[in-house]
Order: sequence, then C-alpha cells, then structure tokens
Amino acid sequence: MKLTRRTILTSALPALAVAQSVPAPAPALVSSGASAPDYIAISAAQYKRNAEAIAKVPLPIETEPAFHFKP
Amino acid sequence: MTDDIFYATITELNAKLRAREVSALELTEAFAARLAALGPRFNALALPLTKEAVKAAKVVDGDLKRTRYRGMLQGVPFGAKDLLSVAGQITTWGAKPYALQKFDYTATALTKLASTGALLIGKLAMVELAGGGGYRITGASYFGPGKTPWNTDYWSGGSSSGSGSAVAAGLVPFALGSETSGSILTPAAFCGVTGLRPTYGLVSRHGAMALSWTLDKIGPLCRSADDCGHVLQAIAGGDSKDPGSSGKSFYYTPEYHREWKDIRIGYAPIDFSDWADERARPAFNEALNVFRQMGVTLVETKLPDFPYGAMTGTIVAVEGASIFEPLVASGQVDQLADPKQAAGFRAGAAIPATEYLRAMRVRTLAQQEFRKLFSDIDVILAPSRYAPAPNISEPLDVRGPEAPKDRPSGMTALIPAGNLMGMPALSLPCGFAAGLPVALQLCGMPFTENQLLSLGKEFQTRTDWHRKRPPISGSPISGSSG
Repeated sequence: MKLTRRTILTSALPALAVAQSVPAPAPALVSSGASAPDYIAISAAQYKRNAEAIAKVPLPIETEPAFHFKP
Repeated sequence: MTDDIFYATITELNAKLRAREVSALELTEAFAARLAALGPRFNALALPLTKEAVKAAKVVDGDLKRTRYRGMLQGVPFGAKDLLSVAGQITTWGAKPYALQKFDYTATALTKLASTGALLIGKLAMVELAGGGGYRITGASYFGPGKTPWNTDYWSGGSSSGSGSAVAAGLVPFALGSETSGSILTPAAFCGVTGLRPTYGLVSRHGAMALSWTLDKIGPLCRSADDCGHVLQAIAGGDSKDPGSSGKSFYYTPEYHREWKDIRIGYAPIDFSDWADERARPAFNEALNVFRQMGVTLVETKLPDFPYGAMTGTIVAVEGASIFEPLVASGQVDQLADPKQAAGFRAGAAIPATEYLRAMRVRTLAQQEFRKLFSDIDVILAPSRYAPAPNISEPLDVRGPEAPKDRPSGMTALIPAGNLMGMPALSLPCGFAAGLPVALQLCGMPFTENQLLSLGKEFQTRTDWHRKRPPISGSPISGSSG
C-alpha cells in the first residue's frame, strides 16, 4: 500500500471547498392527486392482522409484559 | 496513488498513524473530500462536519507526536447516521419536518468515540424517522433513496442507508448506524460491509432518535468483524442517561474464543435450499461450507413458533405513534416523503393498549423459549437477507408469491425475532448474486458479541468477500480496485 502525504493532500484539496456545504435535499415526491390509496386503512388492516396473529398465542394469566425490557 | 487507503481497516490505519506514515489531519482531509465528492452519488451524505473534524485531527496529531496513544480508533475518521445528535449541528432524522432541528447535546456514543480520538467527518443519510411508520418506497428519505455503491440502480437498504453505502464506497472507514428491526443488518448486507447489531442496552441510546424504546440499538458498520469489535469496545458501556442501559462494558477479546469444534451453530437447511433467492444460493452454500471447514458443529434447528413479525410490528407501531404524537398532531407528519409513513403513525395511535400489552407479554414467552433453544446451541446462522437488494424503483411492500403453507419457515423471521429478544447479530458479506452483495448473519444470546466476532473474524481470514470493492469511477483519488 503506497501512500504519501503529498498525494493525499493534493487530491483532497479541491473537494474540501464544498465539504462544508449541506447537500440539497432530494425533491419531494409529488402526489398524482388522483385516487391516492387510503394508506391509513392499509396500515390499520396490517395492524389488525398483526393483532390477530398475536391473539392466537396461548397466554398464561401470570405472564407479565417484557418491559422495562431486559435481554 | 491508489484507493487502498480508503479501503484500509481500522487496524491498518492505526498502524500507519502510529508509524507516522500518515497524519490524522491528512486522513481526515482525504476522507472528507471523498465523502463530499462521492456521498451525494449514493444519497449517503446528510451533513459534512469537516471543519470540526480538521480541528480535532490537529489535536490528535499533537497527541500522536507525544506518543499519547488512546487506542485503535485514534485519528481514524468515521461517519454517523443522522439519527445521532451532535451539539449545535443539524440533526434531521432523515425527515423534512426536522430539517432544521438542533440539539444542545451530543449523543453518548459519539462522545465516547471522540474521547478515543476518532474523528467524525459527517452525518450520514437515513430513511426518514428510521421507517417507523412503515415505508413502502426506497425514496422514503429527505435525502432520496439510498443507493448501493455496487450498482446505483439498486437500494442500499435501510434505515441506516448512508452508513452502509459510505463504508462500502470507502467514504469513511466505519460508521455508526442503528437498528430497531433490521436497520443495520439490511444495509450491511445490501452494501457488502460487516455490520454488528449489539445486544439491547449495551450501547447508550442517549442522543439518538427514539423509535421504539424497547427495541432500538446503536451499532457499527465496518470493513471487517475485527473493526466492529474495536468500535463496539469504544461505544459500549453503562449510561445513566439511557434508561435501557444494561450498565455493562465490552472488551474486545477475539483471541479467547472456545475451540471451534465446541461451538454449536444452529441453522435451518431449508433456508439454503428453498427460502434463499435462487441466485444467492451458491454463495450462501459456499459460505456454509466455510463454517463446516472451520470445524464448528452445525446443528439443524428451528426458531420457537411465535408471530415475530406481527409482534415487532405492533410494538414499533405503538411506541412510535406515542413518540411522534406531537408530529402527527402538528400536521407536519404529512411532509414526510412517503405518505404511508404518516398513515402508519396515525393508525398506530389507534391500536388498543391491550394489543400492545399482549404483544409484550408474548414477547416474555418467546424470551423463555429462546433460553431453552440456546441451551442446545451457541449461535444461529442464517442469511442476513434472503435476496440481494431490490431496484430503487421497486415498491417495498409488494408481496412475493405465497409460500406453501406446509413449508417450514426456517430462520426467515430471525431479524424480528433477534431484535425482540435483544440479541446481538453480526452480518458478514459472503458473496454476490446478480452482481450485488449478499451476506450471512450470526446471531447469539445477549452479551455474546465476542463469540460472534471471533467466528466472524475467522470466517474473514478464510474468505475475502469483505475486501471486495465496488466499481467507483470519478473518485477524487482514482486508482485500482480489488
């Protein structure tokens, strides 16, 4: 691995000028406006499926929740 | 002049710094220049911190000159996911509503790294709010879709997207990321770097955005398992500012591992024959053979039967909805790039407390079953992700074809299961599929990081996947790649 201070510094300097500026954010996604999916309903349906799956697990009455969680 | 320095490990950089072949200032300026020049190509850069790093590097060089050594990370530049606060600097959490957010304190993990002489050169992009509302597009970020340096048409993974791509592209020697359920392992796998998700509570979360108090972890993405060990040693430790802190420290001692033949690794053959993407199976099977050749005992096993994905989904939805309640109430949640995220937080607020508590109670049962499982094995081995990265234009919520109902699930739920149990996991690059990296994960019981790291280190002495470099043109310092 060959490396000299001069080569590192020389090649680094040009870009340092822009290194302190914040990059421009990505353009926001533009909604088409027409018939956007009802994401709240989609999320709620997913959460309902989650609850149903968890409800199938037999749960002894003495079981305490795992918080404050300690592994 | 070659790119070699940008792909050097922490150990290699440390040797060069101590031998005075290079100064901390020179390293800092070179990496900062590369991060500024190439970071935007992968949508990896959130905020450069060059000026502050240069100032700190001069102090480090003074210490090195006086042979005041502070450890392996002294003088090594790094980046941090923009979910970690730096006093007085913008911390966006990857989300437009927080584009101007500043804190007057620095995250504990970053303070600890600074005390070792590591040099923070920039904050790295991430999926907005770590994807807590449930995101469906790779562009769910204030900084645009994270791109893997192996092919910028493909996703870097999330939510620590910039941390994965910046390490892979040689823009930083290592980076900090965070994981609630997959956010370190996924970008590590999709970017071809080594990622460590520590045990819950081992690394302080103080100064990190909270998404789920009972699941969030901070951990490193590096060039090797060995590097992960050095970084974890620096950032681990008790912290009274983190209510979830275990109070434990971590000392990296990979040399004191048990004999390989005494280590029992559980795996599910169906992962490698059926569940893995067909293109990735040769790489996964070859990697499995490397473990066989090491002499470890491979044992067929299966996860205890629990709805891990549903449990994680419920817990993150409710804890996240509570944390971001003010954002939802303000209406600013609608500024998020992915409308599905806003909807997820709104819907999460409507989940009854009893459902959340049921998930947490079932979590207790699962914990008990995992203790039994690990009385027979030491580690679980499985693909980190079962397929290479998706194209950035692909929606993330498209379901694949339904698997046969009678097919055993193998370890496909290991990411949510491991996170629910607070277990550490190490993702190791193990080859390529369709020109993109794939990886295996090792997952162990809480606080067994040294065991995972020693196995990972041995795997990486027998393979060179972690040494592969993505094809990057137009580098400020161009040269060969290997």
